[in-house]
Amino acid sequence: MNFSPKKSFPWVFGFYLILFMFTTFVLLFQFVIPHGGFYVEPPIITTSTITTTLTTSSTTGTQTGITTSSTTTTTNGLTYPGAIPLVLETGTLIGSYETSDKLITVYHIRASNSDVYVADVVVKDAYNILAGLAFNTFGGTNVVQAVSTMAEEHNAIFAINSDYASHYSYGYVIRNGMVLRSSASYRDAITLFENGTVVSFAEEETSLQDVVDDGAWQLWSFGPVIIKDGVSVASVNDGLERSAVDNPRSAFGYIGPNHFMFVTVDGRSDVSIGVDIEELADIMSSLGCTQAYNFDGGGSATMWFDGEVINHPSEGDERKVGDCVYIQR
Amino acid sequence: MSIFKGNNPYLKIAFRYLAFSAFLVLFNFIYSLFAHGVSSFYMTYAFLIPLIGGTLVSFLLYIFPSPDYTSKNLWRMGLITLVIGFLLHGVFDIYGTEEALVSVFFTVGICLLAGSVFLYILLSVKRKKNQN
Repeated sequence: MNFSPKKSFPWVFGFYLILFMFTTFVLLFQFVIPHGGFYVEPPIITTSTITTTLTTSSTTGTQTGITTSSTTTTTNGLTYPGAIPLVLETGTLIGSYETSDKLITVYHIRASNSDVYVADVVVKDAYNILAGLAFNTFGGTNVVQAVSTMAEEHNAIFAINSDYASHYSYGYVIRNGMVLRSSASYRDAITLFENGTVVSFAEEETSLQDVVDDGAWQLWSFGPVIIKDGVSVASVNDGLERSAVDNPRSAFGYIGPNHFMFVTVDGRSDVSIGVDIEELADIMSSLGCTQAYNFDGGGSATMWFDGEVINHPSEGDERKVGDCVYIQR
Repeated sequence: MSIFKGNNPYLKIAFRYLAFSAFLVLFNFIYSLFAHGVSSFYMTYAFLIPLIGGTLVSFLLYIFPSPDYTSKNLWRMGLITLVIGFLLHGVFDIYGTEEALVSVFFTVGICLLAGSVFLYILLSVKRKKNQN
């Protein structure tokens, strides 16, 4: 067993060579090589409500099982529920989009020394809030696309990065009514139900089947929850280092049934330093959110509206991510 | 008896490992500058592997019998494999992802260290028997 240095050189050298090659492979496998995942058929929803005056054809959503219909005439118009939050009235209007079943108004405001982009969204029903997956694939590694690419491919008017669910191995995931992953994580999730309401909960304490039975339409698993039942529950001491640091952020907020706020905060620049999780909760509170949830942030924080990225992603260019939330034209 | 006296071959090795530990501390510090406030337990404490497994063990070898060439190599391989595993785990932690393949480094590293210790004990016992 006692090899001499001369004799043992090849296996010592061989070991370090294999170690180097394996390390390189692990890094490439994690950060570069696209692999894994499964194809998810995008939902076919031409218009999401049955409250139309004239229906010319109908189809069944291939994945959701929800009967949808296409229309040739307009549905009943939407009216903005309640008053526009004061913080938005004093902000800059970037643009708006209005159809019979959706009202989207996008603002720019300043808060916590940061540029904040807010999409105030009112929809006829929750089916208008759709989830996009990079290459329509879920669960893979490095299977990523820019939010703008996903938005254009889905004929969206608005899109925002979401929880980058494929980045993790665990955590409930429901997209467009389909359960894509059923393993619970330590995180809190937030669910948008078909009736347009939103609830957050601890995954480990909640049965996914119960959530499905209640009519979950989208379920995001990233977090933390920053506003629950009208009360800010965000804390920079929540044990997540990323919560305490000023960073670019994306967030989802719920005002009331079918009324949502999507927020992106720019960060990591002199003009816009970004916000910590408590400051993000303050922003969501000022918008009137009764539930709010932190999405993937940092370089991923991207908001896209009507053909262009309206915020300034911190890496200069859009970071490619695994998923997004979008609203179709 | 001072370990700094005489021609101790392990003194040089001990300081090499100490320098490696210092490099890992520096590496963690520089990496954290670009980590946007996120740190990793694994990356932060990676320096302890060469410090304990290298420097401390080298000093101990002044008291205990010298290991043979194979044991020394297995030990070094184990330490380096563990350090790489810790660093990769740290990089993935900071990036916010998980990679099951990292566990290969931990398994291989521990096996190499265990193999080294086993061989060291085996040869020490054999050597003692021969002396008797």
